[in-house]
Amino acid sequence: MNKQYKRYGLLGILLLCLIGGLFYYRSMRTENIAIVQKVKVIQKEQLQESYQNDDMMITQKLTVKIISGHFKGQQHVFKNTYYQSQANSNRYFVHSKILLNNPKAKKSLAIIGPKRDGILVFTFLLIILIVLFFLHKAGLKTLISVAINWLLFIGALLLATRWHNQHILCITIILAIILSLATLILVFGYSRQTLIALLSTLISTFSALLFSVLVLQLTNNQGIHFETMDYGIQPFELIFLAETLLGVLGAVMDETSDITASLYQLLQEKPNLAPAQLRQSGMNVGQEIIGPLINILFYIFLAELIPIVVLYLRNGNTLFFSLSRTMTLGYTQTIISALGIVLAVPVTSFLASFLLRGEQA
Amino acid sequence: MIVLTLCLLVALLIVCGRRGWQIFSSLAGSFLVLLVLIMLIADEFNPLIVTILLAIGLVFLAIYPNTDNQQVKQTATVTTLIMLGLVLLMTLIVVHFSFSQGFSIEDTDEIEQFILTVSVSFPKIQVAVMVLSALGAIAEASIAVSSGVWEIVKYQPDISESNLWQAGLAIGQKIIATSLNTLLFGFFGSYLTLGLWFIQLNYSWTKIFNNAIFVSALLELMISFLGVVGAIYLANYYILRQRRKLLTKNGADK
Repeated sequence: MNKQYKRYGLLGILLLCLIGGLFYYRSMRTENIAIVQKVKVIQKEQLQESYQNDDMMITQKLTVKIISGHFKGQQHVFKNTYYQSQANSNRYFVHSKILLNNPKAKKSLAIIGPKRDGILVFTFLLIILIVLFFLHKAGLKTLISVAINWLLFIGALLLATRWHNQHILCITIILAIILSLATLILVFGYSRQTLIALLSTLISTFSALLFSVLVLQLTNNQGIHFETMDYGIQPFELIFLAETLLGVLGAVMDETSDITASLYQLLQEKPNLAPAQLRQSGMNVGQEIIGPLINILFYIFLAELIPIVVLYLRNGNTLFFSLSRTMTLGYTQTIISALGIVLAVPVTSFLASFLLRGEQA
Repeated sequence: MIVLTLCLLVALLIVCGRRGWQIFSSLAGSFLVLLVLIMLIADEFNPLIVTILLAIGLVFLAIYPNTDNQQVKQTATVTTLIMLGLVLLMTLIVVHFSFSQGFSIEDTDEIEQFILTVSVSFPKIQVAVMVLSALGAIAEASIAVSSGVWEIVKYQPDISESNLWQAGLAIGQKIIATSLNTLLFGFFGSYLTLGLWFIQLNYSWTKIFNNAIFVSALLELMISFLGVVGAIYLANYYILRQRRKLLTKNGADK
């Protein structure tokens, strides 16, 4: 036990130094970074806008020290104007890191924006350490699986853009199959359980998606505003389906692997269970996890609505209008995901009750 | 949309029976609570206080309909509440350092028609977003661990503390891996369009990793994950303590 802690702890620290070092080296080589040393508020102005929005416009004088690039080691003074609400402006503090542009002359130096990747890398490294230190081999496996998933995802994005998003749905479907195969093989190894989990994941995901498309077609996409798609990326419908497919895949895989694993264990303990009994236990296990799984996706969807709906409401829109412009796509996606999650329970129980027994015989 | 929602209700009723009702109404309830939260924030109540108060309600909505066992309910609720407190502290720090609040240049299309100086604090709203998006994952992990571990206690009442701790962590490891998948794929689904946008417009690495939307999405993902890991250890620890209490009480009875 102690040896394991040491070994994986060491691996974690090694990774930490490597990634942290690379990140630091890259930032210092390629970016112009400055650290705020002094902040002074030089002007405050009360704003009166329509719909009773009073905000405060504040100008701060920032004395910064440049720590990388052409003007390394020099001091500089910037003015930064922000609004108290900070919807699209930033208030800087002492020790904040700032990205600067890269001009020839010092007087044309300007702020691009805050340097956000520091906290990102810090949190990432913290997770690597925690995962390796507490979970050892399972942790390493998890990290590898995440890394593979990321690479595949980025590869698919590159491929999709190269073809001008025309084949995005096709690419995502292939991506979904490869991703589930890779993830499930890492969980179960090369076995019949992988097959069952994979089959039921794909069947329930795709049938939920197909069914929903049918329903939406029949109702003429009533109530859905495809034109509210983020960043207006075309083609709306296909990208919408691709997003939904990826979004639900993880939760359904969770569920199918959970049910398959518990049925496998049950069959180890009581090899004489009839298929019907096995199916019933599968349903019981599944019913327990449906609710919490839907919740995960549902809360993420709900949370992301907050800032934009608040902005709509503060601009004098009604709640109904605000919601219809912001949530129809996310809502539909969440409902389709939930359908997939519900469907996965009978599908997995059914498949497992047949295929798992085959392994025994 | 309405038809699809009805389809979901029917599917839930067929697969889960009576519990299907409970699940569906808890979802509807969460939705209403969130609307209240948004309206209160828009009416200039402090976003942090509103979030803390309503998040407590959401925790009960997320846990109570999904389990029948009293011990599991209690453990999961206590764990989730404590973990949410810790997550709140983490997000306060993270939002301060990541400047990830509000809207970004990429949102211009959606927001250009609006006045952005609306006297509501967007950094605080961002904290609310992060805490709430972690809530589902933390609640799921706490329920799964507590029901698994209490099950072990039920079938092996004499199991030693160190064995119980090990068994609990084994259950936890599995949950960590799977809930990470749920979160990760949810992330892929939500930010597919952003990824396409980055590639189409040839964003540089520096620009991507300092982009407010991308950074806040990744931080959300990672904080939810940290919350899940924390919830697993916390739930195990809490069950050990509860069991110690139970055992001493039973010993006194004899």
